[in-house]
Amino acid sequence: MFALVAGACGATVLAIASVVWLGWLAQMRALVSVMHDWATMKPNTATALALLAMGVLLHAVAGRRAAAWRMWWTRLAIGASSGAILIGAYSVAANIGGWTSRIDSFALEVIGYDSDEIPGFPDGGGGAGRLGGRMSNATAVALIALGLGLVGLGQKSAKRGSRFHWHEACLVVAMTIGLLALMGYAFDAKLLYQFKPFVTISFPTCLSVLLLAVGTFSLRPDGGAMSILTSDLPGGVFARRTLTAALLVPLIGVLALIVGTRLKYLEPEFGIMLLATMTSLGFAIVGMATARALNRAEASRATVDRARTSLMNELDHRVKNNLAAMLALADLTSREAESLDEFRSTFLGRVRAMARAHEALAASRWEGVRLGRILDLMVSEMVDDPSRVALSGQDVMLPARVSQALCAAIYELATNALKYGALSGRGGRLTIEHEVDGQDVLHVRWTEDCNEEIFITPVDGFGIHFIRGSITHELQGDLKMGFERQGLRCEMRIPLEPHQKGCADIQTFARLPQ
Amino acid sequence: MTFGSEAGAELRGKKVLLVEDNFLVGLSMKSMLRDLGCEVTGPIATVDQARGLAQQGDFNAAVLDVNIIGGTSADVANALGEKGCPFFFVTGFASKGVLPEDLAGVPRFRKPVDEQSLRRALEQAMQ
Repeated sequence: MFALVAGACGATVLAIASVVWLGWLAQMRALVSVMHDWATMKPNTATALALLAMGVLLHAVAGRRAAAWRMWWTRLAIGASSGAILIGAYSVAANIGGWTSRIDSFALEVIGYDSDEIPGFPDGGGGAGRLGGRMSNATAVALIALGLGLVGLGQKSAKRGSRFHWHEACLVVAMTIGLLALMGYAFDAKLLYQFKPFVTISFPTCLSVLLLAVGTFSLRPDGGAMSILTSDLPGGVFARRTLTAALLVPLIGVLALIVGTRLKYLEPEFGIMLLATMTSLGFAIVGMATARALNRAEASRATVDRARTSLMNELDHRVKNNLAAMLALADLTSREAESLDEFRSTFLGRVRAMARAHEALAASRWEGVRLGRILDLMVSEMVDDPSRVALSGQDVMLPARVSQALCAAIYELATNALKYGALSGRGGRLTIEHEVDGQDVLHVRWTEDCNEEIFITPVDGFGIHFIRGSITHELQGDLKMGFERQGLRCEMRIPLEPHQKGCADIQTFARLPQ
Repeated sequence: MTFGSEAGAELRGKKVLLVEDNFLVGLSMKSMLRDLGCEVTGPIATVDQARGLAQQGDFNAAVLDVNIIGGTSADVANALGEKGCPFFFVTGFASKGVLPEDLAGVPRFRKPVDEQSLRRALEQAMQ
């Protein structure tokens, strides 16, 4: 998009320069200065502008080339820009030094004009005849500034993050000169474009200067001032609106003023007063609209801030609770362990189970975990041969609190089955059935079939305590455990309706489609 | 050790109500309180149960978690206050405003608590 703008600007200026050359060749005044009493664009100015336009186009092309070629295109662009700088610099030096050389008029002589007398231009082409086709200082400075702006673009910004970009400053200088001249034409302020040989700028020149400045800015949409203008942040919105207003309000005002005074609807003084008022009003409206947008952005930022603070508090709460639970687990496991090795294996196993439960919850952004996932994590994935475990029942999404406590209970049951019960080396099968009844109560039936007659299935003291505590204490459910001839049988009844609790992790659960 | 045994003597046989909805934390605190010589009722997980016990029971002190099943332990604290039973809070919650203003003066301890701070908190509360 921006490369397109740059290309369009470059191409337009190239066209203007060609038309001006054509005007000199064909002696058509309108092509050189638009109006008969306006200043003319000199052939050397046209040449310099064409060089700059080529510089912009080459830069635009360089951006689309492979890295290896980009350098060469960029060098060509810098070469073209340097040519324009040389032309501008020579003109300034000649104007200051008062030199008269034939270089200024060279272009005119080449196409057959006498340097002192320009046929078809009775007024001397706005002083052009007398000066032998030399451009004004203002034009020369604009050319130098544009050239430097383009050359500066070619250099990789040495100081990244530096706020001042000298090439942008050059472009602003060129823009100011161009805008000043354009306004001069608009307001009919002859001083700016006529009769003062060293400040005159022709209409096509000032248009070209503005176009080239815009084109050069567009070559780097992500750098310096353009990055502010193109950003999505409130500052970017502000910059875009202000710039649009700064360009449009005076332009429309001036047009209205010119039309109004020409058609004698307005006295010029009244028109100028009206323009000043319109400009103030326009900026006030843009300022207010932008202020409102900024306020809105600030308000939404404050909302996000509050949400983050509450999230941090919630996180702090959960971390503390988890640490407290971990410490309690270490304390309780150490109380029942008979050796350090036993403590090590049981404690680490339980902490790993807590970690897996946490992982599953975090993966769901703390919204909850499916029962099927819990059973997979805590049972199926722990067994060498998953076919020894038969799961049946409708899957259900469990809220965070329920899933954590249930994970602990299921882990204890599975560990016990692996050590002593139906999942141990002696062979056997485990059946887990689950369903949710009409009162939103989850029923889980855990049935071990040990394939052999067993006498006692030992469940270590704290393990069974932990299962019971998780179900009856934390989940306020019921637990029935019994040992039958084939093995352990366990029935859980867990109410799923959310408990009224001060923290935010209680969420409604949702039934999943089967 | 002498200090420990003196303190133990002070807390021996005291009846303590323990309200904590996390089973592991509750059980661990219960073990600590028992080691200090207290007779522990709990851990209790819900507001309803804890309030009922606070109104009926005759406790020397109470240890309250702030967020429990059914709400906060503010109601339990009020019931204990009416009976003149000393209590304090143990909480993982850093933010204020969870408990009503009139309970702001009650001592609060951050989770996790160890045996030493639990003993000191009990002694201070019962003074």
